Amino acid sequence: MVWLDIAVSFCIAMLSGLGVGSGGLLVIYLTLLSQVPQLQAQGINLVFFLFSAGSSMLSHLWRRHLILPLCILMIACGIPGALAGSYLAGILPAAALRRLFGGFLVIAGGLTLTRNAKRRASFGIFHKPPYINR
Amino acid sequence: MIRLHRYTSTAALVGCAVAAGLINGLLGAGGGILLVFALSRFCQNAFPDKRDVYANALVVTLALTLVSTLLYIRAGNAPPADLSHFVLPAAAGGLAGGVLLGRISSKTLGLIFAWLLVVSGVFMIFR
Repeated sequence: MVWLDIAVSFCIAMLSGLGVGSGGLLVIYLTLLSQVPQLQAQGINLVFFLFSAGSSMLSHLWRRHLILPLCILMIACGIPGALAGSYLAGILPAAALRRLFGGFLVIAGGLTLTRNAKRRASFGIFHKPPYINR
Repeated sequence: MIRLHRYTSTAALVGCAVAAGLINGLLGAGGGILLVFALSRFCQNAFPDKRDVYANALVVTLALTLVSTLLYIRAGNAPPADLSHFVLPAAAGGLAGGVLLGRISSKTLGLIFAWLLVVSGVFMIFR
């Protein structure tokens, strides 16, 4: 269903541009609903991310403060990791890869929920109007 | 003491960058979350505005994703025929999100998104 692929891609990319995150939502859609193999779904998600994050980056680029030496250092250190990760993805069995991906989703979702809960708690303390107890 | 703190922060950042690259390559997603955490935790003085953290993390994630993508394409795991109807909506959606940023509340969306991740993750582990 091409129209569904297009609609899902657009919505996930918009979430990503809004700063909510995309967190591999396209991989979930491709593997659970479209029955695409795990490794191919990850490959499609990587290309998808390049376009969605790349285009939203264009709108942020000149409004934000980028520390280029820091970015270059982190890119240089991250590249060996990316090479190792891509190699490992090619040799691991699909079932192991799917479980690892599932574990990552649980951790990422749990961290987001915890952070939101903490933010709500601190909002309650610091933004309570001073007249409320009078 | 300050110098020691600076060195440990740099080492931690480097470690997180390596781990982000590894996760991105291995799972095809997720490096950005780790980078946002690392930059917020170890460079908090450098970024008074939280949105600058996201922008810097995005630049690093894009570069790491480009490396992983090239390897996936070379290994035949991102077939061009399957990409055609994802790429254009991705670019359009990303632009729309960037334009709408700050104009609509993303709190509820974020909460739904987080629950969706947890439920899908559990489903993928036990499928």
